[in-house]
Amino acid sequence: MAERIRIRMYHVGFGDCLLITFPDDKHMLIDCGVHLQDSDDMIRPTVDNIKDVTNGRIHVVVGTHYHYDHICGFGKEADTFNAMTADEVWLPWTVDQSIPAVRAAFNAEKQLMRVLEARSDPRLEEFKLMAVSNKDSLGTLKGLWGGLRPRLRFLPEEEGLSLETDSIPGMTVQFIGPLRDNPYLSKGDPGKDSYLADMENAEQDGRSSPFDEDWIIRAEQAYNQFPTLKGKAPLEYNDLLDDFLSASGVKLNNSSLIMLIRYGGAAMLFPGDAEYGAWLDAYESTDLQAQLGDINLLKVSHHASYNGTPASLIDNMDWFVSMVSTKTIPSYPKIPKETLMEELDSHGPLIRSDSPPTEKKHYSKHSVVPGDFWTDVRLKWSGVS
Amino acid sequence: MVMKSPIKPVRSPAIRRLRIYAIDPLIAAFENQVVTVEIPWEDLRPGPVSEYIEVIDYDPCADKYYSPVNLEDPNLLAQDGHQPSESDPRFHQQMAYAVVMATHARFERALGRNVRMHGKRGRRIKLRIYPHGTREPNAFYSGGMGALIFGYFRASKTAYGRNLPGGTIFTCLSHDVVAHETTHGILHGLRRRSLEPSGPDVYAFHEAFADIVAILQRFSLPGFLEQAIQRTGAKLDTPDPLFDLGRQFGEAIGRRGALRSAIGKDPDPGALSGIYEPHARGAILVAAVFDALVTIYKRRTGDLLRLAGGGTAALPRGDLAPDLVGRLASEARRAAKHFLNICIRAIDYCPPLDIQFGDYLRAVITADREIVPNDPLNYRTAIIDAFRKRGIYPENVFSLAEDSLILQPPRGKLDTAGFKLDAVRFDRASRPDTKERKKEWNQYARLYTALFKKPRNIRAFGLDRDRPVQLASVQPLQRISPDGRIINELVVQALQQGDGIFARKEPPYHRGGCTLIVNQSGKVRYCAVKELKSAEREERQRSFLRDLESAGLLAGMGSEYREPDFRMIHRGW
Repeated sequence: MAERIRIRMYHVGFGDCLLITFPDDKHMLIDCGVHLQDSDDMIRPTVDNIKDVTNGRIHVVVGTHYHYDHICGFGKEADTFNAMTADEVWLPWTVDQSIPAVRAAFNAEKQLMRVLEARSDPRLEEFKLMAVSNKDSLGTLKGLWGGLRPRLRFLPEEEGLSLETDSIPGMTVQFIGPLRDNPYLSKGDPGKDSYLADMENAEQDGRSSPFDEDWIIRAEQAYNQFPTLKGKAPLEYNDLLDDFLSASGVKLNNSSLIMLIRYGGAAMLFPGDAEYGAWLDAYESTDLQAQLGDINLLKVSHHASYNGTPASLIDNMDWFVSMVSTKTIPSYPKIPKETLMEELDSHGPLIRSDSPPTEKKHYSKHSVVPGDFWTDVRLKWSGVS
Repeated sequence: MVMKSPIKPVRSPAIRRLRIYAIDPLIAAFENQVVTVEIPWEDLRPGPVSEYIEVIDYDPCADKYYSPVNLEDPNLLAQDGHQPSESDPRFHQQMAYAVVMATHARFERALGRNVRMHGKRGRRIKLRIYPHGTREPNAFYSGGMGALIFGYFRASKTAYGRNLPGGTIFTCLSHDVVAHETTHGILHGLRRRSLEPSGPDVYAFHEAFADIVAILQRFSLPGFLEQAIQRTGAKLDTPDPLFDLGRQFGEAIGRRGALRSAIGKDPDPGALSGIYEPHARGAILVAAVFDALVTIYKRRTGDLLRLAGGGTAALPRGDLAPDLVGRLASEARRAAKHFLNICIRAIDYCPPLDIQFGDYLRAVITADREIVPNDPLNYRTAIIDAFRKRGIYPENVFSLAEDSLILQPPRGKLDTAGFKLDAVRFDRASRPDTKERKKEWNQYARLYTALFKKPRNIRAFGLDRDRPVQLASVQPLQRISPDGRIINELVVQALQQGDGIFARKEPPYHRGGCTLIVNQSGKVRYCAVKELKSAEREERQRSFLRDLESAGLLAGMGSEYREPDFRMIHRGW
């Protein structure tokens, strides 16, 4: 009898939510979230479906990194999750606050938040949701499940990159990232407190001008004087915060848990939102490259952004199913990257949540089964692995 | 009937005089607070707006426009512009304009041709200048915006130099900052791809070059060197005053602690292997140039000091005679002027992209030998020596002798049939009309065919035969031959594009290319090449990009890779 693994990708929009069901009804949930700019209508039915499918018991829950579009579901549907049980919760070590560098990064974020607050910056709300104070979601993840405390693990653990667990027997997970000795991640604290201090200083001035009112001219006068302006302000209010926010976003993505999951004859790569830097680390410090040929399923990183999937990764992979959880939203008009899609398509079946398959399809090693608001991939193999 | 006016028109003057602050708002280092600079005359509209630049005083943080200065106002013409004032934004505009144009004039003089500003995708643009473009302790050039953006900020509450604690500091009122940023902009125009992050030397070189131009230009401010020399007169038999000035400059730029620790200190031949932060790494190059300058200054002033000392090694006590100060200052100024000229001209001899310190050394030596073949004061030895002491070597040269450092002609025999130098006009109109532009393009096409449409040449230039060659720029290069004739040559830059670094068909790309110096008869005299098919270069670029990304310097989530500007780098991130 052939064995099967089912990978269910929920069509949450710009976000990630994947449920893997191993033989013997063992379940692993990887992320549950959707971007703030995206409608969140699908989170509730998604979580309900997870509850139905798993019978209220998830063996391993994974939060790859604490970006809103990956974990907000745990906060929004906390009640449902609280009523379920989980055996283990996996988070990247980069959110383990017992590590001083992590604490420092969290503190830097708090400082940044104070600056945002001081100026009533509209980005504050979004940043809060992405940042450490995303307590709702992290709280659910780290809290009680069905009244019990699951085993909370920060990964990869000190002991090594490979992990087997009794919660899902037969599964081996190799952590490709985030590596504990990564020098860049430990730089979570920008060490530029002085700049942030300068910002706070500037904020006291609000948007007042340093010059006497006599020198100020009306915008229309300026447009008249400088036709090259074409009637609009040439610069936007852009400051340290923009860049800091963007840099901290990349850092967070690169701290995603990257998991190479093997079970029987299946090898699946779940990289969270890893961006280019994380892949390079992986190339250098793990044997990922030697294993690329084995992989038969890839969850495409970072909603198929321009640098979430290096060309060399795909080049060295053989035939594989790619699953892309994506949608174009106003902030990221260039996601998904169509040239990347073409390349993925040439390596095997490509399943995208923004245009999901509508018909059942059976291949020799897997089948694709469309659902109400999800797509299932069933990987199968026969005999002993 | 129209009466002819009995008043005959007067020709425009050659220069415009404008007052600027000589002290730096970040450090008070100069007693004479106001100096008048002379810049080439051009007709100005309020702004000022000229053919090359437009100063637009929009303050996005306050969302306000400030009244533009009208430098053509007779009341201003009669008194060399506005009286320096921190509280009048019109003076800020005037000072930014004056220093930008003074720097620009320096480049045109050194290169002997029009120097255009270039923006996105190499288009000719008017460089925008925003004297109050951001509210942070930063000033930067942005290639994407084609603009220089100067910030202003509150000084820290604890006393800082001569500044009012908590007072507002404007970076556009610093000669050094403005000259530095302008140099970034001009260099980007001359070497469009040279800003692509292909290795640790790239940004460091840009920072160092901008510092070199700014420091050497400051030396030319009237009265500047005299005051410095008078002040430190007692130590005049040592090169201390010049070193001091270099270090002070580092301080003025504020964030450059690096210059202070590099200039005039014992050089460390292993320094380059461990320092990657652009300013710190760039400081090593600045220190090398400075070191050579001081050596030359000593050579030039040895006789004066011997005369003044009456045969003893010591100078008389007390104030130095003004004559002596004047002579010493003028020697220092001449040496600085020569260095500035060589440093700028060397750009023409650099490869079109991925410039490493060693490439620059070769370019400097080659440029200098082209102008002064016999080198009576041993400038070149001084330069080579200063670079060697800091471990700056070019790749693939046999020795550090002058002859090995000079750029080489292409390998093998070339076929340049069809090349005609007079096909390229040297007096290109700064704004050619359509017809002229078409003619220009035809000329380029002919040149391209003569040089690059031949497999033999491609091989000789070190280019990749499987990839198309793009003609990036053609510029005239004029020099005086040893026997006094004017020699016209061409600087031709060609580029090739390889695969993308992240994804095969996405930027950033791996690139190669070459710079050729071609003489009147079509002989390619020098070739500075960056080979496309170089695994070593590709690896360097990859690991460098990775560092940049880890530091958050590459664009964030989902956005296109963008041409990096200096905003983040100048913050020292």
